[in-house]
Amino acid sequence: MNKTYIILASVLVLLGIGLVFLKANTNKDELNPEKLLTEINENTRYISTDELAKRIIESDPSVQLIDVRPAKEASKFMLQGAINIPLADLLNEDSQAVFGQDGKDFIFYSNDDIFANQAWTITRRLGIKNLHVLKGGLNYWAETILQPVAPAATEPQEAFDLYQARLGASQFFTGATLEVKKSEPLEKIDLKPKTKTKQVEGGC
Amino acid sequence: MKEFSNNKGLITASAIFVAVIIIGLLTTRKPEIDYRFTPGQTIETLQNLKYFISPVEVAKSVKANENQFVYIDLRSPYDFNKGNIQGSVNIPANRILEKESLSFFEALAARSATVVIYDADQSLTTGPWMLLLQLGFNNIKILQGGWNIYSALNQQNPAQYPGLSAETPKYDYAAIGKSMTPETSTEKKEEIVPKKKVKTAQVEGGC
Repeated sequence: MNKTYIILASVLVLLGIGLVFLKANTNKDELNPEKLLTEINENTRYISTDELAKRIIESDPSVQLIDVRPAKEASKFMLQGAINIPLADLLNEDSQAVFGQDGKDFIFYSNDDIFANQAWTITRRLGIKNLHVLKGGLNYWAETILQPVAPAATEPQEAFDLYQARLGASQFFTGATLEVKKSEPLEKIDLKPKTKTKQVEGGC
Repeated sequence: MKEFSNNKGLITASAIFVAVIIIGLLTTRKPEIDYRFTPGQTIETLQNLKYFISPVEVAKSVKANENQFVYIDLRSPYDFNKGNIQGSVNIPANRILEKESLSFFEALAARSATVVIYDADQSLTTGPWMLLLQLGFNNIKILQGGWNIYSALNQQNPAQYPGLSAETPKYDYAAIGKSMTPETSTEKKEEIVPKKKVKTAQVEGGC
């Protein structure tokens, strides 16, 4: 009688110990390599500088910019509303708290888009959603938004429309009225006192 | 008697318990491909790894026929056939996790060969490269600028290619962008000079 109990109990205890040593599935949300590869090749993570500029100007509350450059570079210049999370600090508790926010579009950017893509791959693997990468990074931002280049005369109308939009954005972000065609000063108009001229009145 | 039947129940119960656990263990599918680096390890590796190789260095090596590197082209077979780095193997980016590709990468890692991968440009290369790194392949380098830059090089006399900058700022953003505060309404308002309407005399007709 006692023996059976002991055998049963030891079997269960052994199984229990076995379960402890099983590899823990640490992160249920973790994307497996196949899924991650599919998303990498989809290229839907990119957001263009024009779209970003538009969203910042409209002060879209869902935009959460994340600057992944080293703190030294980021301290000199960051995009409006961005927070600096250097690649090395990506898995910190503080950073994880940032990604915990609901209803945000997290947009990584760096000078180019290499670091941003690296950050994206790691965080996406962890199963974090709504992650984006600024296409071309700050270098492209400077070329398209801060200092837009006028299209050649032969380019289609869309290029000019885009250029106009970029000029507007440029003014917003540089806070300057540069590059805008100087409007000629209004001609001064002499104020002349009204002189009533005699009007011909017709009589009856 | 009562004790005996209790005991029987206990045995059946524990047998079911054991069976459930065993079935559970058997049915959990083991992932075929597993990450070898945790995200933390990946980031650490990124900090210390020299993972860029310049197209000039590659062009020189190809010209000298050194067989120093193994080249892997991630572009589509169509683009690959139009032109590629001499001696490269074509593994389109969407097929790097197929069995053949992985065993190829394994074999290269086993003989510690230095692999150079490239796509049309470097930002297209980064994604697949990052994935391979997390799978444990840290013997892979990215061709800076990708095929676009490499193919533009003068193969016979590869010189330093200007304008290649991965992750180096090209501009002084702070100087261009000033501080990013939008409230800079220091614009002077133009004085508006009211134009007076001058009434012109109208001829009025009488009756």
